[in-house]
Amino acid sequence: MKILLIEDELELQKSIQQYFEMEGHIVEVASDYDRAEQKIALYDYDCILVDITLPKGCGLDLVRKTKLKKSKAGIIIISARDSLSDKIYGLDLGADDYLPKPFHLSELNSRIKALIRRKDFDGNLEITLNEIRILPAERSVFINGQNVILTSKEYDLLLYFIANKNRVVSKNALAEHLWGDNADRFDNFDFIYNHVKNLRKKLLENKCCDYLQTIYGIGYNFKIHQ
Amino acid sequence: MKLLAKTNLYFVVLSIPVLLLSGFVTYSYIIKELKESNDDVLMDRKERIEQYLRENDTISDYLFTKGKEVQIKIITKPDFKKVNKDIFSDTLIFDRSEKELAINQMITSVLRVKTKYYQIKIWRSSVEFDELFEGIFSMLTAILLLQLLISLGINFWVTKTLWQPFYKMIHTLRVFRASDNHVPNLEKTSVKEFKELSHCVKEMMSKMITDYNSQKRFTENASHEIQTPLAVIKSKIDLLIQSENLEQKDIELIIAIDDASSKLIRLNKSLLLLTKIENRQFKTTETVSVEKMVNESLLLFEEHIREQKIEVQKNVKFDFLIKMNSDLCMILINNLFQNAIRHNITGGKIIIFINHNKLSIQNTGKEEALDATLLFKRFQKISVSHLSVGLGMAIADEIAEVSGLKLKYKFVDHQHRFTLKVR
Repeated sequence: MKILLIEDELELQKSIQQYFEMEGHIVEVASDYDRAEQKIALYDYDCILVDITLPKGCGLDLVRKTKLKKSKAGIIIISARDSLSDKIYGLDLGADDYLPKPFHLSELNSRIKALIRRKDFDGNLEITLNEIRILPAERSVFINGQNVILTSKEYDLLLYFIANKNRVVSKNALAEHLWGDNADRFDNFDFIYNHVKNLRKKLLENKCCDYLQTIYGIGYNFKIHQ
Repeated sequence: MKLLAKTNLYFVVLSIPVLLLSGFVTYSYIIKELKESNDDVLMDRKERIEQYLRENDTISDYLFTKGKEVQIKIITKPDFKKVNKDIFSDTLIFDRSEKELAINQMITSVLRVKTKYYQIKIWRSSVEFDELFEGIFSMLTAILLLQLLISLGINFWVTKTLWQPFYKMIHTLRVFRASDNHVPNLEKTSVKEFKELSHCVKEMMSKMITDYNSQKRFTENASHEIQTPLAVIKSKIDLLIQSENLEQKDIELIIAIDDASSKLIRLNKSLLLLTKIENRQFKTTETVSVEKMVNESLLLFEEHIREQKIEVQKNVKFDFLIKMNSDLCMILINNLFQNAIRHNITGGKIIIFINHNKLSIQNTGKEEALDATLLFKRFQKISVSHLSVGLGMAIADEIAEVSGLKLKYKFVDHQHRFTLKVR
């Protein structure tokens, strides 16, 4: 997958680039408006990550230009300006998602995966990973052809783990993914532990490989042996 | 009280002594004039009678004095001092038609015609003083009432026409929000004072809008500046934990950094939210069902409630519908529930009560009342929790404040009760 990252903060740019290159994606970067505009005009991308506040211009104009080009690229706005009006305006212009900074790289990853899935297959695709088959449209999970009933949070967790397979996902990232901004003043780690425990139990009961590794103190890694 | 009503009241009140004084002056003046004219009439009559007596014109005398209030007496031993002198006096004489004693003015005079001495008494009913008094009093009362009526009329008319631009301006100011970003049109007026006022108000509003925008820009810039380095820290932590051979002591360091940066992110977000609420950057566009919000919140925290074995009792009489921003309402209710759960005891209770104009959330917890004066202040931590940044209740209070609601705390039946009411 080819990703264009438009971000002026170089360290954040490096982190994102590194994270996605580990997955084998191609990440091109642009640090200002002019460069980004050039790249958008010249090349095609599967996904464009764009910051709103850029040197020499506004990221929202880039969204408009990409749309004018009738590009098929999915667009995710990553902005420190967590303002509702920007979000609504950005989505109106044709952006597909809006992720306020700061975010976890695993969250960005899962958003990109979901976006590509929606773009390429109108959401009707099934996700297959060895013996696991997921139908996102119905939110149903099959293991070795057997339907497994998961709770809503367990399903969200499984999808998140698969999007971030072979990556260590921190407990903070999981908590934010499951509860968003709302429940962040609680100690949610016990609940995460319980949900993960139940999810693993259900997977194992259906003779699924034990992919979930606990990284002590930090989080989990959904490790697929290659 | 309206300015005009007050002016009129003063006017009416002040006109009472003026009217009384003018009444008194009028009364005395009229009395004086009447007396003088009465005296003139009496003098005139006396002179005629004297003339008739001197000429011994008995026929004229008889005609003139018949039926008139005149008494002529021949006296033998006159008091020589009184001869040819007129004495005016007031006297009471029985009035047959009125059947009462009435005040009369009388002239007494002694006349010498040749050797005879005549005593002439002529009297004339003077004006009834009390009647005059009554007359003047009722007239003044009528004037006062008329004045009141006229002032009411003027009041009504002036309010309707002259003060209209002023009232419209007040209305405009009341609905004015700097966040709407536009200076409303004020009605044109020919009154100089209103013109000046309207000019000043317009200038003030555009200044407010400018200030508001620069403050908003500052808030957003500050947010951007702080969020970006935080985003860098977060992303670096995410990369760091991917590394294969982390030692236990490194992991502990990473966790500490991660927790601290997460807390910093939450703190920054909360402060931004507070600033945005204070700046009224959230628009009220919808009517929110509190019952629905409460249900959503309970669902969000179901695990936390189950974990602490908290019993939730919900009493809904009528749904509480509020006109406010729904995002803010959700934050407000979530903060209240977070508070009720976090400061609860294992196996405790949460009692929810919803009525058409209030919501109260009551929870078990520490067996002592909280300090209500500190409760809604920023960074006043009720408990020593490493997760809390101490802004939850301040945010809840601020949201209530900008949404026309009032949040109150009370310690009842060994439980902590927060009540949300329409102000």
